[in-house]
Amino acid sequence: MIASPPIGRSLRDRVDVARRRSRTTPGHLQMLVTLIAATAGAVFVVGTGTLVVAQRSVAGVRHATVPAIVGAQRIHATLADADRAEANAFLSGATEAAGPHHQYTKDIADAMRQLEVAAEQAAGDAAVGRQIQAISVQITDYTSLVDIARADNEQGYPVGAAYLRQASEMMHRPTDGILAKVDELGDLDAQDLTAENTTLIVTVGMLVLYAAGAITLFALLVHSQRFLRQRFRRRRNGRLLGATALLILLSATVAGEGVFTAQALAMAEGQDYGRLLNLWHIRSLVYDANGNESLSLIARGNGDAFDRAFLSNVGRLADRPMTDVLVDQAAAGNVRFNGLLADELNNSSGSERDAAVDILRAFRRFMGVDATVRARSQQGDHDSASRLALGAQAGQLGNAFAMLDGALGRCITSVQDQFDRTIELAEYSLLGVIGLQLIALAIVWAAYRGLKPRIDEYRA
Amino acid sequence: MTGWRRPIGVAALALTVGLGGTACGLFGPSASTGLSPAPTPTASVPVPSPAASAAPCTDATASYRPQGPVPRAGDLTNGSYVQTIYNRGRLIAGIAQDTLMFGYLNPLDNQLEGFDIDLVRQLSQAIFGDDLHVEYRVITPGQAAQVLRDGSVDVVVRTLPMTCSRWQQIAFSSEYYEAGQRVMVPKASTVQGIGDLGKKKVCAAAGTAAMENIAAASSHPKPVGLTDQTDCLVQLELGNVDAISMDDVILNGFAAQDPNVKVVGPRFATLPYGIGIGPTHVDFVRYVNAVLDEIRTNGTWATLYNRWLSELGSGTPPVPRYRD
Repeated sequence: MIASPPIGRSLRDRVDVARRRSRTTPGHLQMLVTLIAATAGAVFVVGTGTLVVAQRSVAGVRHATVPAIVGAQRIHATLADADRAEANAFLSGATEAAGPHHQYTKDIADAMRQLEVAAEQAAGDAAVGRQIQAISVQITDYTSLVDIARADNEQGYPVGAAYLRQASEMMHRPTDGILAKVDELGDLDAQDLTAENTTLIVTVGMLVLYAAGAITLFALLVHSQRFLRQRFRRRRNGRLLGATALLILLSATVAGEGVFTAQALAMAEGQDYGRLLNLWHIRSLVYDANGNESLSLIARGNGDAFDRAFLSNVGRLADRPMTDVLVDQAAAGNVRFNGLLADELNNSSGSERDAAVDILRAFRRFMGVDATVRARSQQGDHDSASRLALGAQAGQLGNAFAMLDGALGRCITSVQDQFDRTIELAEYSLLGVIGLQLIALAIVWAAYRGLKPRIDEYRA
Repeated sequence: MTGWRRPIGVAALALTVGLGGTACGLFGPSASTGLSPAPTPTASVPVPSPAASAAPCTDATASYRPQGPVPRAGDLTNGSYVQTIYNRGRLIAGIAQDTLMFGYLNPLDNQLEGFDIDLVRQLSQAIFGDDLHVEYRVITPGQAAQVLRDGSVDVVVRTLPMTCSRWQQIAFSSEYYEAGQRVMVPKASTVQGIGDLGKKKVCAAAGTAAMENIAAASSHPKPVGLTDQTDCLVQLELGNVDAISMDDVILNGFAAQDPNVKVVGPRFATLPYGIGIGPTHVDFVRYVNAVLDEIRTNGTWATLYNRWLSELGSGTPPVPRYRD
């Protein structure tokens, strides 16, 4: 049995052979071709991989994560509206107009449908699945309580009001109520957004690696050009120049795409997404406020808890009583109050700011009519207060509420469209740049075609 | 929380409430206090100061004797509290809107109805000449003393039991109805009365005499106090409490609205209802007692009873007792 030579020696031998060969012109050229191909391949793999991961993350943000988070806010608002509508139905009495209860029925059906969609989107996420199941069970209990309340009401039994109170409490309980559970669902979805954003940050790190590869490749191409000029007395090699140009084009495109995607995400996530959540939050609070007002009127002067909840709701929208002066100042760009409505005004511009001012004016009208409703209720004129609260004519609370909700709806649609457009553009432009990574292979081809004739001269 | 069953129609009331058979309750032997048994209108009985009511309470049902017949509307004594009410233009009454038969908002027509509501209307009739000058303020059982003491209402007419402890805070009219405290449990329950509820959760409205009676029961149940008495029925339906114990007339109202519950056991405490009045308005107490005397004697009480409480059996007005 012949002993094989020690590995260390074999490697040294091979390195020596390669070094000796690289000192020859054809050997050096072959080495350059090999290095260019390897570096371009690495650039191709890193670039394509990074961009594919980034594109998937952006697509995830656009198609799954943000829709899920906004969807949770939408479910919250829909359920809050259901509770509000049923309180209004109750306030209007057993011989109520059909509108409020139909709205309740529609809202519950919508919420259940949205939960189904959320469950489908979250297939495989056990935590989200469990949360959705728990919410569904609670909604079933809630609707059972409302059904009992309605049945009692229709038979003239006063205990119906107690069931309605219980149902509303089940909806709004801070820690384990239905809306709190829906918010937890949103928090779970927000964790996914954090994960997507972490991935995007990692891809930025990968782009540094990509840049290093591109610089190395550029250096190899420049060195090859200089080597040919020295050894072969040729001023320039067209194919190598082409490869260099392609590399510059590719690098510039990737860099530009990186900047564009970062800006688009900053715009979509930092501004539009935040405003979208803010607007849905405002809408939920408006629904809650209107529901609490109705529950207070149902309690006929004994609704302190609902009044406190109402004040808490509107206090989060604006931290001081809204006046025409405050509205006019805000419209002129001088927002002199704090709260979610102020946030919306401060974060919007152009026509969107006009829409935000419309919301503020509608809120001012809503609070103005609310003050009249409360004054009548405090004077003991409950019937008149209830009529004013439910009325849909101009100057009545139902009308003011509808105008406020309409203004919010228009603003939400506008911001949602803007978010979708921005992030869609980022997603599709990333797809295009992924395709451009094939240029790296073209660089290899051009470099090879540029060096091969010189290598062949020595072989001949 | 599944499997709730609800009434389809009005369940028959449990007609087990005995009226007038419990002269001696938690509030002392009403027949042995040496108090005047019947109103004897006099022209000028000195008005005791509120401090006079701080005397040891031996009979919670004893109120201030009327000073004569009810003055005609508009013919009131200057400076009296009833004159203040008259000048204001409306009587402010703290009432219940969830107590079937006594004070409730009828969802079918959004009108307040019941025995207590009609009593308020009678007061309005006496003061203003019609029953329309009333501002109703819904209060919870636990708010009665507070709203009377801070002057937010003139009277509280909402199944308010007269107790010695409450006399230290507010004044009462003469007794206008005598209820008793019993127990309500789910239909399937084997509980027969308060004695079977040791260590069980028993619900009542917070701050009420019924709540105190549960806490004092020898079987040592666990009292659960809720703001609104109807919330107790909801919690019983949801299985969060084992029983409710409060005024039998309220429980009978619950039973009429919910076929899944039953009233069990005998009365274990009497709950004499009086109209609550601010502690400093002794003159107004005497005025209200004059109105109540008139209602008792002219047949109005019986009319109201037959209108609202006939399902409880026949009834007679309690004999008013006075502490002068």
